[in-house]
Amino acid sequence: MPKFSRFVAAIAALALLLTGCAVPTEQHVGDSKAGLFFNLPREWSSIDAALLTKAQSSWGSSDSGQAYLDALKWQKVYSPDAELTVEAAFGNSVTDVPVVYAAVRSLYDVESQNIAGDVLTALQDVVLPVSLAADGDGLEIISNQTYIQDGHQGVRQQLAWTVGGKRQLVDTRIVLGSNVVFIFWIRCGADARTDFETTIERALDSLTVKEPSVA
Amino acid sequence: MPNTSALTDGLAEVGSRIRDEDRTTRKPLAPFDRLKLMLLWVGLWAMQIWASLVDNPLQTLNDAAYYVTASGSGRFLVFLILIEAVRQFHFVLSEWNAKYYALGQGFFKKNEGFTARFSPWTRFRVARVFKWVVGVYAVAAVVGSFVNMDPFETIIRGPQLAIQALPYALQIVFYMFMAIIQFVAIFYFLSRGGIEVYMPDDVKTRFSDVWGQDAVLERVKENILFLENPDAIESRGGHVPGGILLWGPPGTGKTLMAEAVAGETGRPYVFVDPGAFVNMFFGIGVLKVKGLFRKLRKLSLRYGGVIVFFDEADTLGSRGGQVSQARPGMNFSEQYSLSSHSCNGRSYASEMGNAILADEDRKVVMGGMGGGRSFDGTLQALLTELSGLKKPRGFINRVIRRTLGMRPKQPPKYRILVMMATNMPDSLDPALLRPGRIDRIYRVGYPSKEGRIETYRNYLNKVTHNLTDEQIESLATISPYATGATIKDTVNEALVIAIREGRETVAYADVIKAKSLKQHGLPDGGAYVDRERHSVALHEACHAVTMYRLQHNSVIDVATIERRGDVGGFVSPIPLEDRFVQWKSEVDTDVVTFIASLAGEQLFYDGDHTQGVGGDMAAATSLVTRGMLSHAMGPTLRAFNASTVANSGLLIGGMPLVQGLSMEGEIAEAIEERLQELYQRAVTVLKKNRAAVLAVTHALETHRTISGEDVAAVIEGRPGPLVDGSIYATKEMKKALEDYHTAAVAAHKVRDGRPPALPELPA
Repeated sequence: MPKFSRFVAAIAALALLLTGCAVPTEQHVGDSKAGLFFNLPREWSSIDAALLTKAQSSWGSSDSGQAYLDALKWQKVYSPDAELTVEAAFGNSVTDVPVVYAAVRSLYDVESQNIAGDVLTALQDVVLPVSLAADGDGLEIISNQTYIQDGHQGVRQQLAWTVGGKRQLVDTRIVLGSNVVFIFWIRCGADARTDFETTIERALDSLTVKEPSVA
Repeated sequence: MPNTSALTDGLAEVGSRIRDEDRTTRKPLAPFDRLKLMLLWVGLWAMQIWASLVDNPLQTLNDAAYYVTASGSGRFLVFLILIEAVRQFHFVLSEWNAKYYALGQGFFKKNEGFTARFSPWTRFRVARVFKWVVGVYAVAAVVGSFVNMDPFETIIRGPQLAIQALPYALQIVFYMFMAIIQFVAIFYFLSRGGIEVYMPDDVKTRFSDVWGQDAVLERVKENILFLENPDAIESRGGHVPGGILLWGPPGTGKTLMAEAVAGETGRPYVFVDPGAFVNMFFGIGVLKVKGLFRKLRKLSLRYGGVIVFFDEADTLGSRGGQVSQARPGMNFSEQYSLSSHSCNGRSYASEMGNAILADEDRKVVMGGMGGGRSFDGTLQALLTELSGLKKPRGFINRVIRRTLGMRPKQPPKYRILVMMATNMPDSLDPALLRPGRIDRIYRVGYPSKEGRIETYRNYLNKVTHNLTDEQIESLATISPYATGATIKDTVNEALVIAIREGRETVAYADVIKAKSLKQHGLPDGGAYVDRERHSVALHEACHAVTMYRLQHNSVIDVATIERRGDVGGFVSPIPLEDRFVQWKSEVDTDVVTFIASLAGEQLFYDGDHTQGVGGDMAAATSLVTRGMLSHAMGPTLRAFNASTVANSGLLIGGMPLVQGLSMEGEIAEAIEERLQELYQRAVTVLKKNRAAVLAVTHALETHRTISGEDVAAVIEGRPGPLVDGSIYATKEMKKALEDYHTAAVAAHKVRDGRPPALPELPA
């Protein structure tokens, strides 16, 4: 029956198409409105957004925490540890698993004023006060340099510090957008860094900034 | 005998399409039908993947497909795709395998048997519940997507969300209300006007003011009595007639009768202006009709009845078409006249015969019906309102009561008497005239002689006059088609003439002059040259004398040689009584009267005649032709109806044309023969009355216009009302008139001939 055969062939093709969608190994994190994208292992999970916001509102002085939230447009925290708490992710203690933070926020007024000058000077303190780091205060600046990310000026840093005898490493990417700054960092203990070397490098490499076109 | 098998050789055998129940396998689906749903679902799924790819540039096609499929909507789409695949697989198997098909049929029939156990109403309710559940879930899903809630949470928090959204909803409702109110306001104001309500005693006209229409008036009174006292008929199982149509020529008192109804009745009277339903915008007429009947119902309940009068009802128009409950071919006068005539040329015909005759009549009538055509729904709305008074009305009555499980209350008896008046009844829609809408149709014709006497007397009594009863009766006699309006106008014109002449009292002569003026118009005022004056006067005198001597069913109203436009002069007859049929002898007399001008001119002018006889001879020819062709008044028994005569080319617009086959044939010869015969008769009459002709000629030359009674007086040689005819009876006067005529004829025959002076009347 040629008709029947054709129908079976069509069903088979459809089945192949559906079954051809093999389970991806990575998850593609990002938001088209925010304009920031990166890849992470599929198993990694994010911290609940509500819990994160709640914690952030009380960071530092209440004003600074709220000011950060007001400027914030989008943020995500990922980790291979599904039980990771906000405090562990952002605290001073060394984490045994990598913690990935990505955010897009508006530039503060001070930052906007500094943008006119040196980009490195303007952006290097976005994640940590790198410019204020002095010998002996524990913050080791492994690298701190400008770069171009998808056509945007940015700063990439590798910083380290030691807490309780354990060395902590953080890789940052701070990219300047149109009135916004894209923030991306991955931190973890030195051991974890070794264990997740490939994953961390892939995540850093996958970082993509694609600002939405303004209508 | 052709060989059918040979004819169909080479063609596929045409068989009957197999019935569904006779199939062993399913009827194969067309390829597109098989794929369309699958294409739709796959297309939607692909669009989602595409959107996902665009949304995140890091995704591969494979990843996008995976994540879309893993999402809720994607999963649902894949579910639909699989369901569709299974369905189509089932269809293909059913098309291919008879056993499988039978299995499937058995299963579905069993299922149908299950659902058939429930009543259609139960199934409908279950389906409705299902639809509501799906609808509520869909709305919740959409709203939930805006407020970041899942559909179930949205449903649970629905009231709270609704209250939160209330200000916005009210805002939207307000804007919509404002937009709508603009249209409502425009249409409200446009739908006002054209309808006036008169309360009892607002109108002073009474039935006693309507003269000469006693028969109709009695019937109208009857309707009012029933409206005033509905129990008189309702207690006997009848109903109050709801509609009256008064139709007839203009000025016969239809509107006056309606006014009298308004004055006599103790109920409100609503007058609907003829222009009320002529509107700039579509639909306004419908609103007006609905508004009118809302008002009528209210007035009816409040005052126990109401009368609504549509003046010039033909403005309501017609939807066209010829759907009438009347027999085909019956015209309005035949159908509804109070004095319908039994012999209308149709009574003995079958239905089919009537239809054929009616069709022929329509060809003649053409578009001359007049009246508008209603396409904007006004007429339809009126028809609906006229027959829709018995339905439950009102939102609370119909909707709220039914919602509360109660039956709507039946409406009370709205006693609304609809009166309509028109002089163009053929323009009315047949549906408007059916019993139940217009129950009674009365023809308001010309007043009877008694009515005219009464009307003359009543109007004359309003002014100072010296007319005797005999003179008033005489006026009524010579005004057979006078209506109340024309009589009123004539008396008023007579008063104007009297005032112009410095008199306070209206005399008989004033009324005669006024009547002549109203009937024939003002003369041009130009004078004839003497020769022409004599020939014109002689021409009219021949008509007058012939008419006086031969016609027994009419009298002369007036004879004149005063010019009015193209008309040099005329003799106007008045029928003595309302007649319906005309005899052949009377037609012949009419023809002789027409021919008398030619016969007279040739007789008195030695065979010569003027062009002025052309119109008379045309009319004579027309009468003879019509008589022969339509009324079997010729040498043959053949008779044709008017359309056939018109289509023959012989008569167009009532005037004969010397063209076409008939004028050269047998009929034309017969017509000519008949005209010659009647010509001789006219000559004979004129020869016998030569002195009378010359006397009337002289009277016309002297007075220019003389009344019919004076014409008779001149012919008879006796005193008349205004002209003394006795002077024409003397031998001297007769000789003087002969001499004068001889001299006038002699003058006619020479260049620049001047006729002698008109013989003077003796002092």
